[in-house]
Amino acid sequence: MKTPRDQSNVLRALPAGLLAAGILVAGYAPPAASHSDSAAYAFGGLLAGHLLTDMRFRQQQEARENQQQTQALNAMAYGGGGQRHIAAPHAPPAAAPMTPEQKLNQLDKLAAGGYITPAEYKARRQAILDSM
Amino acid sequence: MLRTYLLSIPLTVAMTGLFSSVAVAALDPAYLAGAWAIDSNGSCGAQNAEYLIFNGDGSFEYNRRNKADAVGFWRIEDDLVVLDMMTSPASFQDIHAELQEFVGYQVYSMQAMPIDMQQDHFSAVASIGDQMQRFSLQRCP
Repeated sequence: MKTPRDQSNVLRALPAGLLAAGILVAGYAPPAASHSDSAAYAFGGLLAGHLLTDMRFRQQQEARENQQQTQALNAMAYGGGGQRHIAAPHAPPAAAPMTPEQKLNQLDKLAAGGYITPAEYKARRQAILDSM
Repeated sequence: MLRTYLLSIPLTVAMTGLFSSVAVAALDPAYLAGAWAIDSNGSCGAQNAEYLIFNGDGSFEYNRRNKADAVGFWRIEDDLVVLDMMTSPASFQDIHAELQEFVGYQVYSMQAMPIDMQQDHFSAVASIGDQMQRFSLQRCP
């Protein structure tokens, strides 16, 4: 049976316990939340991933162009008559029909990447060979 | 007699399942036309479902969470489905926060190779640029 003194000790210890718990909670760092939700969407994740890659590529390209422009302006200002480079506008890749060889190569890549099963690879390969 | 009949039921069900999984559909516009739910988010009616809607006029829509994220044109080339599409500046910002810095409409060309085509579902390996993804699609009623 707890005496009033024991209860008092418990109450005195309570703030310290809460403080310790607070420190523990504050010290706990949850796993960093990923800002990427691409795994949740198969098709959307693929498009978003491509867009992100494209965006980074364009940023790098823009930085290179700015650097080239600066160099060209410096050359003009200080002599040398540097030529200004203008990058070709970005265009989506043209979709051309693939040859059977290209299809086989693509199929090999899919199999190597684990995107298709050996049985699917075999069936698809045979279909391509039959079409030649 | 009754016992034989009862024993034959599971066998019949098993055989039906076996033959239905072997059935193969042909890749043609009539097969693709309609709405297809993409695997990761469940059935056609799910709130987070991704859909591809192939219209009979050659246009298509990629719909995610009941909003169009990409629209474009589809066609069949040999055994591939080619999807040329455009996304809006607002597309996919919830997937990659970095994309909020990106402005402008974007044009894509994607190729998808259908695999294991069944009457109401098939798998596909899609490639765009250097990236690939396999997913399965289920026809929506």
